[in-house]
Amino acid sequence: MAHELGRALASERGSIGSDDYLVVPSTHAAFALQFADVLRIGVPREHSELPLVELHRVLGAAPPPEPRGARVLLLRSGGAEVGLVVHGRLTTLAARAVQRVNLPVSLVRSPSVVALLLQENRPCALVLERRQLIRALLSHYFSSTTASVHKESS
Amino acid sequence: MGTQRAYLPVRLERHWVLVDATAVVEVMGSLEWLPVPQAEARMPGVCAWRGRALAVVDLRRLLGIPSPVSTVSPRTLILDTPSGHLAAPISEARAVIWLEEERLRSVHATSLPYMRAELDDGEAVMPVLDLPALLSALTGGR
Repeated sequence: MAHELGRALASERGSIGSDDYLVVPSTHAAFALQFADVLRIGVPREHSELPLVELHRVLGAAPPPEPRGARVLLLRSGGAEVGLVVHGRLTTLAARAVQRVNLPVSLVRSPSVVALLLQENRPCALVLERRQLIRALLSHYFSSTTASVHKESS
Repeated sequence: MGTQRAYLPVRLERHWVLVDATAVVEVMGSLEWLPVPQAEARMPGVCAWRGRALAVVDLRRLLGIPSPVSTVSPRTLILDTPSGHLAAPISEARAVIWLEEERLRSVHATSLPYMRAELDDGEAVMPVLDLPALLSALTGGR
């Protein structure tokens, strides 16, 4: 784990359980992934060989106003890895400090969001589900790759 | 004397509408909700209520009332519907009024959709929200 943040989080893992959450800020809302779903954290230039897609593109959200400090959350997809590019300061949330409630999926349908985290009864983050997130990420990656290949060949 | 029913006067921006009070579980104070990415614009997010996540219904959008986008509402109705509880951000609510059904007339003065009747008290006309019709349109018969 070459990156400083990755090392810092690794050292925290002694006190952070796999069911705790990594929280990613966005212009839309804060999003949370369970630590168990994240293999490593790095920077984009170290993982340019992998499918990398920015979180806001995957979710169809507005881009960050000043995208800087990009990090890559590496997720396992079958036997391979994919990277979710996020911006802003990553924080952690202990599972014991929050209440997780499922979304009313019959009414609110979102491809990647499955639950809401409440802290002292206030909504604090939307929980992303790994498999659905990877599906959306790969779909976006391949559609944008195909589009760029078509553009180059025309 | 005819049968009386309870209605909650609710303001959405500059429009006042009457909502069947039996469908209203609670009128909350300021409530924050989170927008859910790629959710339908008429049900754009979720909020927390009694330890549960409720879908947020954008009544203004459903009724075609222009309004600024905000994820904090000064007041929120918690509605009990056949689809479950829903949260509906509003601008303001007043005390429940009791009305005889004979005082209501058919809709002709309001241009808002999903209204089933109107109350004309001599000073203003207040339409009555047809909640079942609105919910049916919202859930598409789900």
